[in-house]
Amino acid sequence: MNTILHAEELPVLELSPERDVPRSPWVRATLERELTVCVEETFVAGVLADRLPPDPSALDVSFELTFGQRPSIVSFDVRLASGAARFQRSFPASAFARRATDLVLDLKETGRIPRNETAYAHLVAAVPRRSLAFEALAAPPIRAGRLAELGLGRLGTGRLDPERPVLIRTRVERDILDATVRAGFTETGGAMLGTLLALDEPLPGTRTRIVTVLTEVFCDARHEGHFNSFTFDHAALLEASRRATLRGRGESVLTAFHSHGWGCGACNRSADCSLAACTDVSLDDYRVFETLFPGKAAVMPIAGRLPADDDDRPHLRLHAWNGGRLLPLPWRRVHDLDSCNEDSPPDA
Amino acid sequence: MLSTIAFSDLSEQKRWSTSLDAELTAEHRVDQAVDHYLTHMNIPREGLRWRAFSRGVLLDGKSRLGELSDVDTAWTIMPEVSAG
Repeated sequence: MNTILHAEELPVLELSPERDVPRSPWVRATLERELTVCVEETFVAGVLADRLPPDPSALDVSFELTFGQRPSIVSFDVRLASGAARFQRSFPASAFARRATDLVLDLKETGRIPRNETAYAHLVAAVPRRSLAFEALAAPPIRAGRLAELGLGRLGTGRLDPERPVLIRTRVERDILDATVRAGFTETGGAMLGTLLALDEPLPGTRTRIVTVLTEVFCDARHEGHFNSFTFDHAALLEASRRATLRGRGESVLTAFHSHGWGCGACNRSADCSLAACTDVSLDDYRVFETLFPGKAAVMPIAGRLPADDDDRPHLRLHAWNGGRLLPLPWRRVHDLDSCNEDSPPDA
Repeated sequence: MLSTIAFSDLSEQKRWSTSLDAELTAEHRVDQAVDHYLTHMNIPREGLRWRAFSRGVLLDGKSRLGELSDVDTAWTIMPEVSAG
């Protein structure tokens, strides 16, 4: 893919002791890797939305910066174009908070920033010293097919994002929630099989033919759950991968779920519950997601309590990359072809 | 002897292959090849211990690529990592 970058200025990260736009920052960090990842996220989102070709011969990349008090950037858009096809995604300055935190910790560790100082992070515009490299830019594997080929039929309850529809087999949700209840305060998890399917037509209410389908879950005792943490076992993940191949349906280990625990049975209604909610994405969760499933099409399912909900059962929430952060993504249930079961409550 | 290696993450979304006559050679070690893949694919190391698996078996990070079986052409790269 021939990639051309159009940008006179790019965002850089500055740390300073000043809350306002820094006059004399302690340090300036280029964001080459992070900006490349933003382009990758935009490209993959554009392909999944059916608005960019998966294998373009050429791709124009541009950055549109939105300033607060210049040169301070409040957000920027990554704009991609391939022929007549266009797609863009917005990234807020807050998407770089994790990088800023890591940088501050490193600099305090090495004494370049006094340990007792408050460091303020600013995203500012600067002329790039060198261009960005896009060698890793590639669409995820997408195969043409029909839901029936996966043994799936009628759609159930839930909601679909118009440009990123995700379906989860009803039995998979049930297995995850049962495992979450069984494990109690201890976190549990497992590999999830799935595929990115290009249907003949978009599903109702969506604009893309490409749908993410999660079809199976393998909880495995070799994974290690604790209160507040969960460690994935390599052998168990690889075995799930082998089983995906053996099933012969074009599935792969598309992601892995983990729970945030489930305790008293009234976790949703208890304001004092100390367990993380299924909507909480921790820094450890980010690290798992960015390393174990580094593709930008990945979705992260988390099971657990949903504060302020008035029922007594755990819930399953999906998170996906959106503007450099893991944000909630709606999903919809799908029934097995031979199933006549009723839906679970419509909470997705 | 190996002539190419195809690298992938578990979900097979980050794929890259290279022949052993350019950036990597038979003299490089498995750990160096893993490092090369992570750099090429822009995957953050996050200070984690990264492993390469072939046919479901862990490859010794210190082995030279020239010492591997010629069927070890498809690697899955994973870190040791915990969710919170």
